[in-house]
Amino acid sequence: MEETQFMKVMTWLQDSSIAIWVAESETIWAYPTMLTLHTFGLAILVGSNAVIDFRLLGFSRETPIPPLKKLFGPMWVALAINATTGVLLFMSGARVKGLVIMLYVKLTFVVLALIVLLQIRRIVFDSETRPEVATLPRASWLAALSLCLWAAATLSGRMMAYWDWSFGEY
Amino acid sequence: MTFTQWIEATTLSETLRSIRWLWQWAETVHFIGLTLLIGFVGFLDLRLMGFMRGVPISAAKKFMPWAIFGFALNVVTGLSFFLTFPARYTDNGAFFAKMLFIIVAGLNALFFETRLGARVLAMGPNDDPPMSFKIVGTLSIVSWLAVLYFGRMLPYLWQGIL
Repeated sequence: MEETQFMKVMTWLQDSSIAIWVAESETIWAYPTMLTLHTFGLAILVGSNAVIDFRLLGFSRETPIPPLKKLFGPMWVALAINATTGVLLFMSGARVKGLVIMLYVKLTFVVLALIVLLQIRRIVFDSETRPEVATLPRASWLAALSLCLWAAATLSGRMMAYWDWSFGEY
Repeated sequence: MTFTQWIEATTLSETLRSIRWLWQWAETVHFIGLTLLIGFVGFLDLRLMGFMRGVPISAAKKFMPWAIFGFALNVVTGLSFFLTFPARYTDNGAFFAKMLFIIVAGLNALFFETRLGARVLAMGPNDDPPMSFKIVGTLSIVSWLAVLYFGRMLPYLWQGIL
């Protein structure tokens, strides 16, 4: 059967030397370390975002909101780690993973969660208005939405490993 | 009969194994729990280390019930993993390393709460924390990240040590 253009790209990715190293190297520095770094990134990015979300929802009102802006530094580093390790993990099994529907479900939730995070940053942290803006209903709605989207992304990420719902035969 | 075989033979272990998708859902909750734990504990730890100035330490501590909630989720789901397939854990070095670091992190938190807790209230939001706070904060974040490391590496590290 003629391979589709998509599968040709997946094959090319999977046959690259870096993908072969991640998939087949015997050392724990390859696949296991990529997975572990991906989990560190999840904990730092989503955990820090959860601190901001919970504060906006009204927990620990004694915590002033403006200093929480410093959490964006570690969050962007964690996002970069997860984008990098995510691409490498994908490449290591591109022919299969490229067809796994849960991957695209997960990526959709991640992108939506990041858009919500940027919205929170814009209306809560970048605004010239006083911090009380954060107690506006809109900020707490965004915070609740953020938590739901990250939970959905975590769930669909986990399900990638177990639910072989796919776009085709691989 | 070994300890592992005895656990596997219990009704509880058999029941857990018979529930479809229990393992997958428990893993998802375990990931959510670790995220809450690392997020909220890490936030307090950073403040104890001297970062996040402007946040009173007493205010960062107010989030701790959520860290404990995350930890509780992970105790429950973690126990379900152990009871479902004890053989994966009882001879696994990474599992013992993980438990060791949970104990270190727990004792460190207990020390902070009982010995240093009273000093927290006396501190202003912008104060540079004393060295004891910085050490506790550093030990805490390093221990919890070690717990995460050995947990995630559990299938790949030091299996079959016994």
